[in-house]
Amino acid sequence: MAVTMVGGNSFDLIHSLFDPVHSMASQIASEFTEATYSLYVSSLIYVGLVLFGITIIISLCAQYLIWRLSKGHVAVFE
Amino acid sequence: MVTQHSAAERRHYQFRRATERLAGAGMVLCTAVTVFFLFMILGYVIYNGASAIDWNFLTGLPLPPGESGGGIANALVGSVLVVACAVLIAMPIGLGAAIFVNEFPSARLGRTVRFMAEVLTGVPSIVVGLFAYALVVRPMGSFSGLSGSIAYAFIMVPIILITSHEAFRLVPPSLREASLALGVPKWRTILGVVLPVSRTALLTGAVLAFSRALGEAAPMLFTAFGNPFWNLNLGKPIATVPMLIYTYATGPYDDWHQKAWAASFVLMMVVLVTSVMTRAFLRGKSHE
Repeated sequence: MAVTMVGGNSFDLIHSLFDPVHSMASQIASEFTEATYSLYVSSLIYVGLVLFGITIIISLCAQYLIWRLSKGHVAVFE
Repeated sequence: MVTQHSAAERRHYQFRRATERLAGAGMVLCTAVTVFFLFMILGYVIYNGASAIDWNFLTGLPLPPGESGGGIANALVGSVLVVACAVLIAMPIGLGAAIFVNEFPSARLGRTVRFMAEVLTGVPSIVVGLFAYALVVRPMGSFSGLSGSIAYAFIMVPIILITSHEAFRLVPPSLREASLALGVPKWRTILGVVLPVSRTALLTGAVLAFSRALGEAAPMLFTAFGNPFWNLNLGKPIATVPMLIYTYATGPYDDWHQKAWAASFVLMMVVLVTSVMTRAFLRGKSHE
């Protein structure tokens, strides 16, 4: 939401950090209430699915990392 | 006799002193930056928002753009209503799951649930909003406060689960064993010993979840939707403060921007007062 308000919501690929950007979350936020036909709605929900997939993969990696590290600790103390 | 250090040793010592100073200065700098931005945000919101707050702002309804005055009373009441309903939904689920995870540690399902909760806390709130839209709004056929509560509940459940689980882990095993040794059944031990002992930490977790949800605008876009009029019916679209801030801040009118600042100020104060009051209440309890 914060990015939606300040990011600029441009549809171009960015070439520098000073260009307006559009994040996946801000695309859903800004266009969902304007989506008039079902393919549009479905596409936006698909964007949500991709976003969900990315966060799941990242948190799975984080959990695996924590598990690996804590396992190492246990081995040291045993 | 004075110990003689070689030039190399002295240089090594000086190098280590310098590294230590540098690391220390770095940490102080990072802390200062964090605190600076916290006060920057607080100060900026107070500077821009406090001046627009009057009785009418807190008790009035939004007026059409162009007319001066008007307030956010409906959004304030709506936010409290939606979030309170979400707490009612999320608290039993989160607490129950936390009890299961803690009391049956050998169950594979319990560990999986805890793992899933940690993954769920990372899910973007907009995705939660989409989910609540597909789950509640589509079948019901209209935006509603209830769907907003369900979306907030999805955000709250993993937070309540994790904080409650951590609270239960801190209960001394001797208390539990003492209860079991008296022949008290397991369910009675949980209700009579584990829950009362950890009640302050449970309340802290609930307040954390409450504050987190109260400021969340993204799930409200497609669920509670917003409403310029009075509405206390959770089956109808309802105004919430974060949603109002989003609409007003991205809107084209100066008056709206001013109101968005003021609403941010009110929201911030509500969260601040809630957490301060909980702390004071808990401190009072712990002295009993």
